[in-house]
Amino acid sequence: MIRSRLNVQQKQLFSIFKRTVHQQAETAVDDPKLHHSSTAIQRGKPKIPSKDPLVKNFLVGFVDKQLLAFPEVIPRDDFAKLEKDTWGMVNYFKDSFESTITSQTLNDLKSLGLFGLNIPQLQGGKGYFLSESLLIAEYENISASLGTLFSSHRSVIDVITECGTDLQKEKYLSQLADGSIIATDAIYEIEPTKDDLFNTKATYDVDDHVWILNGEKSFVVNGPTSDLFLVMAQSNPMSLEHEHQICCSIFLLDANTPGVTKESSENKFGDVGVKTCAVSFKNVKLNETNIIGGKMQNHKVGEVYMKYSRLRSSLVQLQLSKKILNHLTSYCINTKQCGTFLKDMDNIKDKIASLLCPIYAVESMIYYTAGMVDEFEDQDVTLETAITKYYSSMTLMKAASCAMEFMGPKALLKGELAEEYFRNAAELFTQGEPIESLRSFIALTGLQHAGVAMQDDVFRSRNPLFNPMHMFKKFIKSSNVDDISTSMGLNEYVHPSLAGPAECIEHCVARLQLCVEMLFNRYGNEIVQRQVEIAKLTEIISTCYAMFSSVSRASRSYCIGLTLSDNELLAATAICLDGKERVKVLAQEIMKGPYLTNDNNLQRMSKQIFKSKHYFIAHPLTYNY
Amino acid sequence: MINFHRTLRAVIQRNLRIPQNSFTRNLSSDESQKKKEKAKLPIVRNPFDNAQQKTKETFVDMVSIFEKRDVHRRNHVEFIYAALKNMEEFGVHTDIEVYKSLIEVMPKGKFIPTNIFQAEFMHYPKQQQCIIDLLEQMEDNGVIPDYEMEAMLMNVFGKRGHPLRKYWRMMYWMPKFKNLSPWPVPNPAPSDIQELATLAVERMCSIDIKSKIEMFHTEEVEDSIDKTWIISGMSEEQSQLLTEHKKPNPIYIEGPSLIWLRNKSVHYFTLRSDPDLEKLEKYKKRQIEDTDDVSKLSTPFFGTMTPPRPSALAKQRSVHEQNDGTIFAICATGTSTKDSLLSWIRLLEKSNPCLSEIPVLFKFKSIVGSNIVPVSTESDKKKPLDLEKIKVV
Repeated sequence: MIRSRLNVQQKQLFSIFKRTVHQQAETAVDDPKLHHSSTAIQRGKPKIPSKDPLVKNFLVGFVDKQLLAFPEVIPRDDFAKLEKDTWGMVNYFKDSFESTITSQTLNDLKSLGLFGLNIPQLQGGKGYFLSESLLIAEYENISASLGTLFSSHRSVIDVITECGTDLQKEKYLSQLADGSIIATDAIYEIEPTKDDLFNTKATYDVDDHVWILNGEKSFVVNGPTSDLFLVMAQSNPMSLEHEHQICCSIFLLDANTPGVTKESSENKFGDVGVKTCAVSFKNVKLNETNIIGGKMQNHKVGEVYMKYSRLRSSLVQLQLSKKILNHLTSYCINTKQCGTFLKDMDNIKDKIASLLCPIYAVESMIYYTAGMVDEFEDQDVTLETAITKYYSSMTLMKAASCAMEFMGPKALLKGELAEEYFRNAAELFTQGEPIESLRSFIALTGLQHAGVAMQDDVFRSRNPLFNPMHMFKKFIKSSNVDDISTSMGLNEYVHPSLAGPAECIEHCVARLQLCVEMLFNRYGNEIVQRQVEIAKLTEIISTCYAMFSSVSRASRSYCIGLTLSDNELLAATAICLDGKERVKVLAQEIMKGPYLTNDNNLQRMSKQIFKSKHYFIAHPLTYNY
Repeated sequence: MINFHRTLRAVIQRNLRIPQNSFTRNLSSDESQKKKEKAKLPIVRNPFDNAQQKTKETFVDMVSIFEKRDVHRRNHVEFIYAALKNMEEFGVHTDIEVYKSLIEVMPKGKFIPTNIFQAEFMHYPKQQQCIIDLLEQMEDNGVIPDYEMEAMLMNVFGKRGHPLRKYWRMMYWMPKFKNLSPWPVPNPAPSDIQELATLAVERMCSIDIKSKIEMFHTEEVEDSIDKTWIISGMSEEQSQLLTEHKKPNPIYIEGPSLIWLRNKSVHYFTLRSDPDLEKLEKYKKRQIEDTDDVSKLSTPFFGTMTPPRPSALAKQRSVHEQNDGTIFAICATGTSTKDSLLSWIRLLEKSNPCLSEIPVLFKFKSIVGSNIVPVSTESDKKKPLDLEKIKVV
């Protein structure tokens, strides 16, 4: 009975999708632009028009119920074909693979076509779209080194295919596809900047019509053997109007351009296979063809780059987390302590399972987000990708520290597998943008979206004496975070066993919306400076997305009866129950404000620390008189 | 007998200069009678005035002599007052042991009230007031009593005595006040002048946590006359402000000003300019911002913690830019002379090359001579400066 009801719903859902796909196919013929983009991708389903951003709308309290259906972007036939294609690859990585990358390995990888996974077939690549290329990347992610190498290589390719000019595509893509040149990004710098985004400066020489690049980039993944750099540099403000805007330009730069020097490789904590190094630029002359994304579109290019690089690097992190989990499992099975196997101890069981949950959530988020990118035309997934990266980083660190808890000093013994995992985890955790900045990015991107939608409301609430009616209405329908009731009906779009978790999502989203409203009312646009509340908001937002994607995935798996899918239900339920409690606590804290929570106390103490410049507290044994 | 008492009081009052109201009422009504009596009786001398060596040892000796002199310990209140008055001269005004020995002078048991009326109506008021005054003096000198003193007071006045109440209040408040200063100075303050100057400059520069305190030696400057040290405090931000200073406008070396560290003082000088009114006006304009508009929030980008705000991008007013002027640096020199200050500017030039292009003027608040003493204790201050050697600038 339940099944049949579900089937009806699922059918309804899928029919909606099919209808839109059909419409899209019709319009595609008329619109040359869309036609163009669909040929560029070449494979897979044609994309359908974009939906409103999913997670951004969580902040205004809206959930797109239709998106609860987990995206199935790879058609069934293609999926079988993909498995067949990758057979050789699977065997290659299964047989023998060492973590150091030699020229022999590189040649092998070239012949396997791994360098051109996401390059259109016209230019000699495999032409896989995002979900497919992520799926295949899982095999090579057997080594974290290869994972990071490829994730930066492919992210640069993604930028070229999406934002590059035809000339740039022609020039680079075919070479990138066969691996004769390897690309990487050069974005981060070792020295913090004072006022600008980057210390690397690009100045435009009006007479010679060239850009002159000066500066140094650090932590360039695979720097020593890379041939193409994606460089972000501070450029002149375009006009007086933009005096206060930060302007950066993004360049594609050959490693053999005069003035580019690769410094010796950096001595790092982990990830020994792939070297990173600093790259310095001294009066490097670049012309218009080197600029990617034109003059004013650099922000968009940056976003495209971040979108792909975040997603790809979270996949590398996910694979490592999984490996740590597997390692721990076998350790617990084989280790006996005072007559009991670790695997039979309740606390160990608890820990292992609570490690599985976030890993499950990360995996769901990665493929859910990639699915959205592949399914919809130009879908806004900025927030989704950022959350995925954030969540996967946190999960990875949790897994790595879990190993230390279980194994004790053995976990850090040189030569132990756990030790290598730990070093690599630390490396991956710190790679790319710092977690703290990701944290503020997530909440602020969400707030930016919510701010536009809630502007009028916020203005009225912040000026209550001018808007008495508004205040009166608000007073009447006042709701609080402690005890919330919702009627979004999300449970109608998932398997009935997941009705409870679906309700959790509803509650969390409703609480999130109340928090956003409260923060806007309390701080106005000064919320940008309230980093403590921002971090809490980030935690809520990312928990909401983790819950949403896990439930969506578990529902699909259980409906189609994948192996051990009942455990997926358990995982999704656990994630939701845990998430609900966490969100409730955080939301209550936000509602209470800094003075009723611990925030203000901490702020005051930190003030003294900076004033004294050291640990200032008197020794406990000191006498005063 | 009455006569004798009168005489004694008169003598003690003269010697100890105790205010009359704290003494007896009908005493000095008749001056001539007093003089006659004085002539008849042997003069009781204040033993503290006559002491040859004014050290702790003699002080304690005198107290013990008084104790042993006779069983009745006559005039012990007067003795304690006299002792209190002279403590500072003997350098024992911060010594708790000495205060204790003074309390020890009081007879035990006699002053303990035996009923509630005695307790409430200040049994033996003169004696109680005397010890309260002693405690007051301890408090004024920042001496925190200890538990032994509590036991002593208990033995003399009982647990309902007023001195004990005073003691308990002191024990509540004094430890709390002791470490309240945000700029603690070691107790006693160092007597080394240079150390003291470093402490002073450090404390003044704490307004900007990035301040750097440097020690220069004027020997490094080629044509310096005074060979001395300079403690100079300047922060990165102040350096930046100095480079932004509009060149033709002069900057001033202003001083000497006085800063006190406990009972010692240090002369210091500031390098400052007149306020840049135009700039200050600009800062004021920028402060006005509509916080209600949430529709244009910006997001961070590539590894920055917070997004840039228009007001964050614009320069913030620094703490060194005050309404009455911009302060660039502070210093104290070993001699506080014009020449040592000149050397200071020369030495600052090394890290702030822009100084060589800015006219620097002296703006002295008081007479600055070649041999002015930069650090002086209170006793130093009483001595008049050697006016002959001071050149008025």
